[in-house]
Amino acid sequence: MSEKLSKAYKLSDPPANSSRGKPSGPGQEFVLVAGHLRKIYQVGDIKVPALRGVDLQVRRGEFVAIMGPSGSGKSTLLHLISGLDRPTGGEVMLAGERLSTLDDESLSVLRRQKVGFVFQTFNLIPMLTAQENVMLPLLIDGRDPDKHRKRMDNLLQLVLIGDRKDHKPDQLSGGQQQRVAIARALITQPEIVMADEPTGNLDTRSGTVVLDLLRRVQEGSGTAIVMVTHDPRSSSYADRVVYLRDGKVVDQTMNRGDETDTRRIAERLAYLEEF
Amino acid sequence: MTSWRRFFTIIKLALRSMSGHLTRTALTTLGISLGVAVVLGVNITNATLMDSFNNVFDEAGGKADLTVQDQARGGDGFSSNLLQQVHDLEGVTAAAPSVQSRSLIADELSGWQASTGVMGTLSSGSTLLTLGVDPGVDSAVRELEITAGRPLEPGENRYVIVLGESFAREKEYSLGDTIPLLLPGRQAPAKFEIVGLIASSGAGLINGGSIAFLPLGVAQDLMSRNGRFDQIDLAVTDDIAQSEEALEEIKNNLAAHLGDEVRVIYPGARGKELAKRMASYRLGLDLFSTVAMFIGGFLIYNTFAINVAERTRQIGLLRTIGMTKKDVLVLMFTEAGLLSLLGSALGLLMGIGMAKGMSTTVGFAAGTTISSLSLPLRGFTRSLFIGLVVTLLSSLWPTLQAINISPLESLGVKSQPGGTGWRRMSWKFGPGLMFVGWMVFNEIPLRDSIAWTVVSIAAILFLFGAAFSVPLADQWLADLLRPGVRFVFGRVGGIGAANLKRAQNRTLLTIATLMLGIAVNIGTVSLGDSFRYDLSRWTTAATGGDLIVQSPTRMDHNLGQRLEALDGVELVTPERMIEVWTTGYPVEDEIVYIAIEPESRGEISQFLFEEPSRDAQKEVFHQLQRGEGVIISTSMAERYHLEVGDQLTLDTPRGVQDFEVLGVVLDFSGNGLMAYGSRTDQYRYFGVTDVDRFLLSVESGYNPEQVGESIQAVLGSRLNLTVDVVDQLLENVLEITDRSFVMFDTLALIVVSVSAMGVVNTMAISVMERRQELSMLRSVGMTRPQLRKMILAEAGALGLMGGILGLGLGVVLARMFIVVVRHLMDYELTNQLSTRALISSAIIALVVSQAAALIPAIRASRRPIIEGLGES
Repeated sequence: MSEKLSKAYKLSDPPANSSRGKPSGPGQEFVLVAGHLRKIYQVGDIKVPALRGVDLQVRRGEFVAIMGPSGSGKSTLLHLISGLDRPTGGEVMLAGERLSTLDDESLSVLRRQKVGFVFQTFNLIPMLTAQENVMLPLLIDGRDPDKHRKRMDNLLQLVLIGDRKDHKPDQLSGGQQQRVAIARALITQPEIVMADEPTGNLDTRSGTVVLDLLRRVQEGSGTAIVMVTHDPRSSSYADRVVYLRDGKVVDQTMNRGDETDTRRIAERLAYLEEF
Repeated sequence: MTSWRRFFTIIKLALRSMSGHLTRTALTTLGISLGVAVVLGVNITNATLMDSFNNVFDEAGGKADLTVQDQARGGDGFSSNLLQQVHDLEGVTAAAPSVQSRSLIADELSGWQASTGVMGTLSSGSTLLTLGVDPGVDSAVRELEITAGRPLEPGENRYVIVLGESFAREKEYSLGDTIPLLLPGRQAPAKFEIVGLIASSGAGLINGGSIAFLPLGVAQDLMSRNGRFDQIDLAVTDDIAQSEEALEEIKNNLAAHLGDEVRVIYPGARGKELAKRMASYRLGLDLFSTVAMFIGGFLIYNTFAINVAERTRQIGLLRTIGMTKKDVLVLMFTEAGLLSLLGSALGLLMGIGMAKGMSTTVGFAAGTTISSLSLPLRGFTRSLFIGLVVTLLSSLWPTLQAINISPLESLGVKSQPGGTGWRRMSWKFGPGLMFVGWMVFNEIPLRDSIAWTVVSIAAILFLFGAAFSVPLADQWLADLLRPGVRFVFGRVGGIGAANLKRAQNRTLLTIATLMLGIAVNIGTVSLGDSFRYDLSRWTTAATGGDLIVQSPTRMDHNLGQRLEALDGVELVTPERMIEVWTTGYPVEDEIVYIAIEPESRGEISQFLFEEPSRDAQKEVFHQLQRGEGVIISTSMAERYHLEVGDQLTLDTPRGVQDFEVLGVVLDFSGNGLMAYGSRTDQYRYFGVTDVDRFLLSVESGYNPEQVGESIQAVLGSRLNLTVDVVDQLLENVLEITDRSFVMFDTLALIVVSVSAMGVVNTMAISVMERRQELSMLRSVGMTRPQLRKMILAEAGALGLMGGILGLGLGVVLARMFIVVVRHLMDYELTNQLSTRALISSAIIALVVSQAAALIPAIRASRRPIIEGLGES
C-alpha cells in the first residue's frame, strides 16, 4: 500500500464495529481503499470539480451506503472506486489492486472477476434470457458455464427467478429484472458489489425485496456492497452510511439495525442539505 | 479452451444481436447482397460473354493449330489450289478445308429479318450456319460429338446433313427428317436428309448451336464455291504446336507462301478480337459494379454506425462487467463478418439470377447467342472477397467508435458528443480527391490490361472526393432550403430542418449516400441515353430510304435494275458488307467494309459527316465513285489518328492497298470500326460482286407498304426476297437498342435503392434517439400531426439536399462517363443529359425521404407521452 493510501486509511478509519454484519477488528482486510480522490470535469472552458479529495474504505463483507444531495458527487465516487472512470487525483485500491497501475484490459479483467454491478436501469441484454444474462460475466471470462450451473441455479432460486429463468428481460417485471441483475452481479463470487440506485426504478414492494436480497447476500457470502442511493430507507439496510456534499465526505454514521435508522438518516440528510 | 469459450460467447452475442434486430439485419444484408450480386452478376456476364466468343471460335477451330482464311471474310473465298501448298509445308500434319455460309430453313423465309445489333455488330437472326467439310480430314482439326445417327462419311457426296441437336429440337426436326435449306448459290431450297445430330459441345457450340455440317463437294456447289474454299484449318506436328516460336514461324512461312489472297491466323483469334471489341461494354459493367459496391459500403457504414449508436449503453454494460476493448472489437467484427457472409451468400444467388438477365441482354447487344452461363470460380471468390472487405472496411470506423465506448455509458453517463472530423477533413480531401479522380479519367491512357483497375480507382477517388465535399455545401444549402421547407411543412418544418444540424456526421453521411446514388443514376441513364441518341441518329440516317430488300441467297447486282423498274420504286441502291484487315498499324483490326454506290446512296440515305456541308458531301461521293477512297467512321479516325486526306491501309487479296480517307462519319457498324468504299473498289480489290441488300425509295404518292407487297408478289417468292418497310425496321432496331440499355437502367436503379436504404436507416435512428425529446415536445403542446410534419420536414430537407447535390454531381458524372467511353471506344458520344433521369432522381430523392420518414413519424406520434419521457 502506498504511503499516500496508508495515510488516507489512518485519516479516515471507519468505525470499528458495525451494528450488523461481520465483526471487524484489528487485522481486518479492506476490499476497497480510496484516498484523496479528486475528479474534475472539463465542460467547455470551465472546470467543474465533482470530487474534492474523498477518502473511503470498505471492509470485506461490509455494506456501505453512500448518500448525498444531487450533485454531491456520489455517482462519480462510485465510478472511480469501481474502475469505470479514472480520477484526476488520488488513489484507489480495489481487491488488492492499485487501479492507477492497471491498463484498460487489466481493469476489465478485474471488474469481471472481482466486482459485481447492479444498476438503476437493470441493464440486462435484451436478446438473452434471464439465465444467459446471469451467466454472461462467466462467459466473458471464458469460464465453463457447466461447472457453474449449480451455482447459477442456486442464485436464481435465491433471487426468486428459478421459474422464469428462460424468460427474456422484456417478459419480466422491473423487480424481476433487477433480481436477475443481482444474480448476474454475484455469479462470479465477487469481492465487492457496486450498486447504483438499485431501487430507483422500482416500486416500494419490489425495492424492499431487492434490498432484502442484497442484505442476505452480504450476510451470507461476505461480499462487500457499496450502494449509492438518495433513499434513506434503502440506506437503512447498510452497516454504514457515508454522506457526501459538494464532492467531499462530510459525515458517516453507523446503523443500529432497528426502525429508527431510516428516520435518523433522513434527518441527517435533511440537515446536510439545509446547511 | 478459455479463449474459445469467450469467442463462442461473443459469436452468440453477435447472433442474438442480429436476430434481435431483424429489420436492421435484413436491411444491411440486402445492402451487401445487392452489392455482391452486382459484382458477381457483372463478373459472370463478362465471363460468359468472353467465353461465348472464345469458346465458339476456339471450339470451332477445335484441334487446329492455325487457320487460313479468306483475306476478305464474307467474300468469295480463295482458290482450292492453296490446299496443296498448305499440305506441302513441312510440319503440317493435316489440313481440313471448309466452306461456309448462313442459310435459312425455306419455310421460315417470311418473317425472317437480318438486323443490326446494338453495338453495330451484325446479328445472325435465326439463320443456320452451314459448313461444308471433308469428313476424311476434318476429324483431325475439329471435334464433333454425335448424339444420334452417324457422322458424315469420307467421300460422301449426297444431300445429307449433320445438325446441331439444340437447333433440331427447337425447329422440331428429328433424325431421318428432310430439311429444306436456302443456300446462297441457288434460288430453290436444297433438301437434306438429317443423318446425325451433334451435341452442344466442341464444334456444336458454333453459332449458339445453330450449326449444320454437310459434305464439302455438295456445299461448294450450293454456295457457289466451286474450286474455292473459305477456310483451311490445319494441324502441325506436336513439337511445333508446343513451341510458340515455332508456331509463329510456321504461321509466317505459311502467310508468305500462300500470298495475299488469304490470311493466316491462330484459331480463336477472331473470338479474342470480338471479345476485345466488347471491352468498353464490359468495362462499363465493371465500373457500375464498383460503384454499386462503393455505395453499398456507405449503406453498411451507415447501418453499423446506427447499430453502435443504438447499442452504446449495451456495449457500455458489457465493458462494465468485464469485456475488454479487444472483445468488443471481436464482437463488432464478428457481427460484420456474419452479416457479410450472409449478405454475400445471398448476393451470390442473386448475382447468378442477375447474370442470367444481364447475359441475355449483353449477348443480344453483342449479336451473339448466350446458351449457358460461365460461372468462374474467380468471380465467386472475388465477389465474396469484395463483399467481406467492403463490409469490414465500412464497419471499421463504427467499430473503432464502439471499442471506445466508456463503461460509464451503462450508468447513463453520456460520453462527449462525436467530433466533426468529417467536416474538418472535407476541406483537405474532398475537392482534391475529386480533382485526382477527374484527372485520372481524363489524362491517363487506358490500356486494356489495366483499364478496369484505373477506371475503378478513378471512380472511387472521385466519388469519395464528392462525399467528402458534401460538408462544403450542406450548411448553406440547409439555410437556403429552410424557408421552402417551412413554407411546405409550416412552422414545425423549420424545427425539423434545423434538426439536421444536430447529428452532423450522420446527416452528412446520409446526404452523401443519397447524392451518390442519384448521381450514379443520372450518369448511368444519361450514358445510356447518349448511346441511344447516337445509335438512333445513325440508324435513322444510315438506313434511309423506304424499303429494304434482302435475301438469304445471293442477290445479283442486276436485281437492282429489275427492282427499279417496278411500279412505285423511285431509286435503288445496293450494299455489300465484307470484313477486312487493316495492316501496317501498331494495332491491326478486322473492320467492316461496306461497298456502296455512292451517288445513288447519297440520294436515298444520309451520312452523318463530321463537317456537314452539303456541297462537300457531294464532292466526297464523286471521289468515292472514282475509287481508291473510303469514308471512315469517327472511331476509326480516332483509333488510327486519321484525317481527311490521309491513307487507310487495308490487306486485300491483291496485296496491301492504300485508300484515301475522303470523309469521317458517325457510324456504329462493326462496333464503329468500319469504312465505306465503292462497289468498284470492292470488286477490284476483293473480288466481290454480289449484293447483301438493296435500299429503295418510293415515288411520292405511293405507300411504301403497298410497294413492298407488290415487290414481294412479283419477285419475292421466286428470288427468296424479303422486303421490309424501313420505318418498321427502324422501330425494331430502336426497340432492340432500348432493350440493350435496360440493364444499365436496372443497375442504376439498384444503386439508387441501396442509397435509399441509407435514408431509411437515418430517419429510423434519428427518431429513435430522440424519443424523450419528442415526448417533451408533445407534453408542451405539440400535436400529433405537427410532430409527424416535423419529422417529415427533416426527411424532406435531407432528401432535397441529397437530391440537389446528386443532380449537380450527376451532371459531372455523366460527362465523365462520356470521357471514359471516348478513351475506350475511340468515340465521342453526344452528351445527352437525361431529363428523364433528372426528373426521376428528383422524385426519388423526395419520395424516398418521405417514405423513409413516414413509419418512424407515425410511430413517434402514437407513442404515449409518459412512455417517451421515461426513457433516457
